[in-house]
Amino acid sequence: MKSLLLIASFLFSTSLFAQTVAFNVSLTPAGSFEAVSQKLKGNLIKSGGGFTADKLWISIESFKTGIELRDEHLWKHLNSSKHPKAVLSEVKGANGKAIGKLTVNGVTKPVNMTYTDDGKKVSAAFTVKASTFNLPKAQYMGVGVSDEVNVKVTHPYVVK
Amino acid sequence: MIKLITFIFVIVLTPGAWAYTNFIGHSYTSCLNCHYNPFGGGPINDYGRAVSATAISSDTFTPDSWDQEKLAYTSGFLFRKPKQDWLRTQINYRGFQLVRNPGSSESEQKEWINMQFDGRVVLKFGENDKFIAVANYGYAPLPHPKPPGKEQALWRSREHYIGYRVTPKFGVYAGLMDQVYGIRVIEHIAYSRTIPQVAQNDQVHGVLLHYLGDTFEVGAHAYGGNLSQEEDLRMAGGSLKFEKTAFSHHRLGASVKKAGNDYLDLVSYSAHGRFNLKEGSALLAEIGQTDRKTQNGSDDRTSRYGLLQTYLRPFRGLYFLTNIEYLKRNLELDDYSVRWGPGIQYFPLQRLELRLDLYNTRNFSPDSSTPDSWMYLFQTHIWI
Repeated sequence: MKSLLLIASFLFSTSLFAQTVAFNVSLTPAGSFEAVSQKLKGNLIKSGGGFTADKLWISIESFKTGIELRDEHLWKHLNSSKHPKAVLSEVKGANGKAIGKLTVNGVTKPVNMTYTDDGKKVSAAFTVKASTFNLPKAQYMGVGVSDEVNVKVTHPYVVK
Repeated sequence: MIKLITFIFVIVLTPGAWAYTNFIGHSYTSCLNCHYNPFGGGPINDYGRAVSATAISSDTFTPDSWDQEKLAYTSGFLFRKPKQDWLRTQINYRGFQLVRNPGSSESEQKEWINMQFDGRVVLKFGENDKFIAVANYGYAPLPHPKPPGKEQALWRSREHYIGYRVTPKFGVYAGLMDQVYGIRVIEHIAYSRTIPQVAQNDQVHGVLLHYLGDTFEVGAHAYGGNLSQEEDLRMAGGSLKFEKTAFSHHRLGASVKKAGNDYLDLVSYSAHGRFNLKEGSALLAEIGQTDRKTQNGSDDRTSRYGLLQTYLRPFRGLYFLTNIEYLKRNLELDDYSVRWGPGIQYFPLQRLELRLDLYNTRNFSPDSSTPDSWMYLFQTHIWI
């Protein structure tokens, strides 16, 4: 039974790792892929009933999609050579909702998130549009990507 | 007799040029990313060729000076980037060594079989290739048992159809195509393909509607049978397939099919799942049932089948396969069969697939005892 639970958790979880950023990219005409990194840095603090984080950051080139060439295209598309990090700053959250500022490609935009707290880590989700970060429309051999991207962030917190 | 049995194995039990449905392990939930046919099989598009070169095939033997981008752009026909947008061509060859009763000094049988030699042409026009015409003509061994009526040629059209994507989400296709049903696994040996009659030689002339939603995909296929057959033998009817994305990475689906001719009626239904195990690994599962009714009632039965396949990818280019199948040919009897076996699929470089499959079939019956059958196939697949 334990084996079954382990297999199920492997199949149906985005990631077994704590510090994770994953975003789902929809392809046109069909399909999608997920880019995942377990290298999110920075401190998330729980104080009272809420959460704060001054700055969480991740290296763009730590994201993996399962295909080497697709990784390279993703990094290039996100302009990693010029802006190697994505940053989530000024995060404040309470009662399952949070706000913050996301910086990608050198452009900073406010984001609204929802989150859950499992007692050790927070899992947050939000949606952004790539075009608002001045990212060009992506197209490769007839396959494109949708503008809207769903992001999931999982990060452990410290209690103060 | 041995030749006849070998021939049956060759025709019925042979992998062919269908979709690699396990590529959901590379997070491609829909076949439309890489194929012109929205349910897979047949010619692959430019993106599919690039994926095969840069994600599926090993780059161990490519020159160090080649980067992944160069690999992608040499995946085109004759290793070239196409110079125009409207024409794509592809040539496929598949052959294999079939060995029955391997290791037996008395009954081991070996034979090399040329299974497929196809030329494929795709014409495509309009924004996002909204208009396509696909022709796939080539050599394939004759089906067994040989269908009664008109003789089939060794060289014949395997598929020919036109397609129009009315919108990126909705497409209409018409012509000779594979039937839309279940998981289009590459093994024609699979009970899940032979029992509902959706295998290698079961293409039909008809109209296919395909809709691709954000989290689901549906196909409705209406057909009049294969028009190269005599009219009373054509299996006319329709099939429906639905797939829904589950937990972001996986697909759960169901299919139903009803078809018949003057002598036989088949009703089949199945449920399936395709699971992305990450990093190119995948698990495929299908269960289904087929109700078969003959005109004179002499061979009526209900069959039930199951399929479980795993594709584990330790590193790029290599897949370890496991195949387990179950068949209860007649639910009113206690007999059933289990077929299982491991396999290795290796793409040492782009355009070359080597595959070794071992099959063990065991028949369980309370009334009789039959020895296990063993066979292996060593397959070579080349495409240019």
